[in-house]
Amino acid sequence: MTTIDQQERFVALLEPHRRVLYKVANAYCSRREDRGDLIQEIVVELWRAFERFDARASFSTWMHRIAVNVAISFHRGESRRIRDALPLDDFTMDLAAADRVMEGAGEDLHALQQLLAQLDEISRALILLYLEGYGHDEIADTLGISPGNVATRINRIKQKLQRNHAAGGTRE
Amino acid sequence: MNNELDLDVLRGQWHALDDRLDASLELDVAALRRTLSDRMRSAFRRHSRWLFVSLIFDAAAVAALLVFTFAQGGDLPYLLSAIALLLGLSVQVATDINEWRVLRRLDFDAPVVEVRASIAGVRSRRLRTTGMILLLAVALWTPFVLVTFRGVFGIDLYRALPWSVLAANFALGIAIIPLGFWLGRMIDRHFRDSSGYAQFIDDAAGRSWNAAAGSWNAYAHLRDELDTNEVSQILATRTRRLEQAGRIAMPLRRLKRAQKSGIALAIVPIILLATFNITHGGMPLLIASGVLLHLACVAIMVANIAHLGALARLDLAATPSFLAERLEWMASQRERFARGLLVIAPLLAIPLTLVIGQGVFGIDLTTRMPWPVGIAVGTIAMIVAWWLARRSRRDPGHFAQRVVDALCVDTRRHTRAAIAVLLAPRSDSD
Repeated sequence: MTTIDQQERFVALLEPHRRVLYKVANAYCSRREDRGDLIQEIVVELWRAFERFDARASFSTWMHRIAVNVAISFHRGESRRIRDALPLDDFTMDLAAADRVMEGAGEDLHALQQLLAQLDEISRALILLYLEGYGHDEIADTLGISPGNVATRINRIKQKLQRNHAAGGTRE
Repeated sequence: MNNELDLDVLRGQWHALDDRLDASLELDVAALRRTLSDRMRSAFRRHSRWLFVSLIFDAAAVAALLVFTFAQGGDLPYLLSAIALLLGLSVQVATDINEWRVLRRLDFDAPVVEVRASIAGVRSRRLRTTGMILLLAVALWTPFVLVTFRGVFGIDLYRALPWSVLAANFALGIAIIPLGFWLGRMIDRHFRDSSGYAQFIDDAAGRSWNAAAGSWNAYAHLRDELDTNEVSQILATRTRRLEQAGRIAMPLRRLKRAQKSGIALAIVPIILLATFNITHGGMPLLIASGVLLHLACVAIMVANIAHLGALARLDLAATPSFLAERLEWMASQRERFARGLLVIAPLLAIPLTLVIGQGVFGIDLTTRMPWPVGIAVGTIAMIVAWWLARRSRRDPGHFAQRVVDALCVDTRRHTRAAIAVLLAPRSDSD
């Protein structure tokens, strides 16, 4: 397959999943510029890994795994920044518009986002994957932990969410 | 506000956002295609700047050597020197290219074990090459100087220098190879299990793959942590690391700056002594003195590099008392090394006098000084060294403290400052 064909295939697969880029970036970066950087980094890593992508596998699962790994690395400041290599404008992704969608998503999702911001990087990845509808086995496989561990962590986070929400409600 | 917040319910709301997000996030496919076409360029930029510079340097050096080889085709000594350098350089080029290729292919999607295996492969190749280059460096030094002088300044050192100078330098270079090999194996056997030694070797092998390896090791370490620790513990560790890093950033920076200036200071005599050695190869006592002093300066530089490397690898998530203990241990090792240097200083003073006499004043003390005087000076130097060794063992804390501090580029003061910050009681607002 030529590089052009491969690009076409990659773009065709990426296009319907572009919101994943935003959601992952949104969970790990509070500043819009950082989100832009992270999205670029994820896309580049996806493209680099694409030649080894097994077409029989789910693109979405594969993409989530890479996106989360890149985001964790980025979040920990270990990632090699590419700020100068890929200007955000090239993607013409209107992050401000997406931010407005998230802002208008309702109080419950707001509370969820606040909780996400308090969690460590692995728990954030775990909740993101859970919200995206992945099962415990798939999450375990992506994060490299046991399904039992996934279930325990999700339960703990659910309780924390409840506690935080109740505390917020009481204050109000 | 509803006090019941169910993650499973939120899952539905989260999915409901998808269509709206899709509509707002219009991906410019053409721009993305252009970006992907530039992937080689961007991937290249993302790799170590040092490796890139190294590749450019390799290419320029190979080109210059090839031009020189063709230009000096008829002059056998220069032809052989250039070919020897080309062979040495080609090993370096092959390693750099291989390293660049592997780093470029590192794949976030691959299992950690697989990535670690490929990094381990690069590491062992890199270490082998570094070791080989270090062993060959002394042997290749003479051809390098000959070719440089001829190629850059047009000076024919091969004919200008007495044959004994070149012969002694070549012989020394060749003799160092088995000696260095034996020394390397001995050090490796003794320190194989030391993590500090492994890190030092990795640092010596190069910065670029080390950065990639470090990043992956950190990721793998995180996964190990997850298997053994609770999230809350991991989070606490990370928070502690961030907080501690902020507190001791300034004193650590000063400490690192001191080590860097120590490295820079050691480079000056290393270069001067190397120049002395290349021009005095025909005088056995003088070149032996030059090499001895050269090795002492290299040892000082290595001590600074090792200290700097150890500081960079400090685990800032450790408890303040443990960190203070590590810093104290590093400083004590540096002082121990400095005291050792000071003890043998009277013995080093003899070669230093010989080198300065010849190098600065043009006086060959090896022939001017009667041998009974030489033996007397040597005996006195040994007695003084023995006396210093006894004093140093008896009261190491107070042994020539100022000189030791100077030799350690003020490590003790900076270490104390860092430890004071670490162990200082913190206010609640912290």
